[in-house]
Amino acid sequence: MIEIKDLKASIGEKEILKGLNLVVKPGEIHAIMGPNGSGKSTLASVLAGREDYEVTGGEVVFNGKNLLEMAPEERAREGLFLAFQYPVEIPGVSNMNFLKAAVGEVRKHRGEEALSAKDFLALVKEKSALVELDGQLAHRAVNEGFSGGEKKRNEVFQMAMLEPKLAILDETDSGLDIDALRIVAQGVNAMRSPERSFIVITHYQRLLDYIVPDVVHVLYKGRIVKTGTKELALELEEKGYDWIKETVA
Amino acid sequence: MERVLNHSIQKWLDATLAFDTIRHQNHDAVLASMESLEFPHSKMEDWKYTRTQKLNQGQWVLQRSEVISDPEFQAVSSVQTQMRSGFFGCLNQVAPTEAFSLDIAPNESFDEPFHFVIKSNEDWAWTQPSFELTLGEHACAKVVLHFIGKHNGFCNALLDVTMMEGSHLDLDIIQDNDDSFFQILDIRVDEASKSHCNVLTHTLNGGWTRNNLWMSLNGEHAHAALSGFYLPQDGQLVDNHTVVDHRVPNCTSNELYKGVLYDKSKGVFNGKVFVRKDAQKTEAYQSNKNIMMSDDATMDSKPELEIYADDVRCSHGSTTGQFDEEALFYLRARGLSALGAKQLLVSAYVNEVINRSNNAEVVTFVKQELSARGRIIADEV
Ligand SMILES: Nc1ncnc2c1ncn2[C@@H]1O[C@H](COP(=O)(O)OP(=O)(O)O)[C@@H](O)[C@H]1O
Ligand SMILES: [Mg+2]
Repeated sequence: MIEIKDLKASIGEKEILKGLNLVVKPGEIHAIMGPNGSGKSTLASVLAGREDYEVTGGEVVFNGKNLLEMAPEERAREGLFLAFQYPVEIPGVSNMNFLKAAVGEVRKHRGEEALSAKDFLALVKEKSALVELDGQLAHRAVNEGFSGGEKKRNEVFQMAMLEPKLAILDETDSGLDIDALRIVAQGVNAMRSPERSFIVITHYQRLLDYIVPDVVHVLYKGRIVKTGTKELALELEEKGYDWIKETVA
Repeated sequence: MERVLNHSIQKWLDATLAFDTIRHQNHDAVLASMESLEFPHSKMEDWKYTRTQKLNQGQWVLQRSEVISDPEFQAVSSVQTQMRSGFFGCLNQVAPTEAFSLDIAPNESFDEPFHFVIKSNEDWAWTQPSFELTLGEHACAKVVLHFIGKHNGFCNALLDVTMMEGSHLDLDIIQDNDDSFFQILDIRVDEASKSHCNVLTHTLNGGWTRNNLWMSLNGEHAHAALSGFYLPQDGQLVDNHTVVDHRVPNCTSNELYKGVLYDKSKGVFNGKVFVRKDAQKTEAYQSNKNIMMSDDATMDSKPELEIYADDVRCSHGSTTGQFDEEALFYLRARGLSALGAKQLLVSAYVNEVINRSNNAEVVTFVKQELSARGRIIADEV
């Protein structure tokens, strides 16, 4: 699915990713944990194509293609989805117009026919129910006036609409209460399939009770410093990150 | 009587003589007032940012416009518009090429809008239409003035709106001119107490467009809403000069002008708000926002508040900037092209202004026109 080799990226003069390696196979769920500031969101942003970051080394192969050469929209159309840690509010742009355009682009790229207005609305209904998103929210401006939880659920809703091959969830659990967490996890689990992979970035083990990962990585100072099974997440929960910091130091 | 006119305007007046124009009731006084005028140039405060040379060099031929209007608009033979101080306003008044009035009788209320389409069709055509709208006490109407300027013509239009007590007017101006067309539109609105006027200037296109809008709040509890949008591209210019004159207490005004500037285009916004000494409890809001789509585009935005009363609530804001990069990335990360994402953002931006119109027909028309031209994406679903 995706192969990241020795990826290095900086912002301004500051190197943040310092040679990161990661391979995710189809159908797998990988969790990436790590203390604040270790580069988790940077990794997600670089993969999604945010232009603020400069890739200074390494390569990323996504389904056989050179990901780093693609514009953000090409990556999305190729099936990469990033659920933002901080979803952006876009006043005046209706969720529906936006989603219709996005779904249209992705389907066109896949060589699928455009959805009729009726089928599109039916899809919206089905997918918003998946994350128990109030139907009215779909008609409002993108994320405008949404609560923190609504924004995160809107991300998962969009993911469900776009049916990506690889979804990267950047702290989609942060700021959620236990019910919202369960709803988000339920949305993700409903989308699990042998052809779809997930990279779940989280700060807490809690989410992984609901979305059970195949592999857990620890990202620290721009590198993956430890890889294990879901038990690693439990160990981190128990011992905190200091233990990792000491091991690396 | 021998007049001594500045030579820069003499040739303009000479050019009016070949055509049989409508007469203004104050024709002689207007002509006399022109003795102190010269052709506008960039050293004049009102014309600092807007170049007039090309307009001045045109081989203009004064002629009638093509008019398609609802029958309620009456052709008038003696124009009574208020005298203007600027050159182009005076020029219109000394030689109107056609003049129409629309009177809404007191207490008459119309849901259906009144339409007036005014067209210029030929190279070097110079037209000077004149309009007078009067709303009697508690009258209520929607009016659409739709300008269509083809080829390199010049339309120097003038409109007076007189609103009696408690009247209500929604006035939508649509400017849809060719890339080589020049237009000046000078509007003066006088509002009596409790009247409510909502003016929206939709500048869809045009080579060179200068709008003067003066709204005077003369009676208490009157409200003025004024808005406009402009999306100039290539070398186009759009200049909006507005004045809101709060002359008496307890009036409100709300102004919003927004622009998206492409290529080498130029935008000018000058918004004056006067709050006279007696105009206590005034609420006046003004906002001008601009997005620059190119490094070569320029925008000169100048709010001017002159407040002489002390118990007032006034605010003004002017922003000129780039697109919200975060929003752009978010949309692209969901599969929209950079262009599609920008169009979606422009649509939202401009819709805020278009939606201030109370004329649903105009809102639909303008959105469809802009979307057919690839300028915005029309609302869907
Ligand atoms: N736009 C930015 N400008 C400067 N430094 C940044 C920027 N974004 C992130 N960083 C820095 O990069 C490091 C990694 O940040 P981030 O990827 O957000 O970490 P995480 O998501 O793991 O908390 C931090 O030290 C952060 O301060
Ligand atoms: Mg982060």
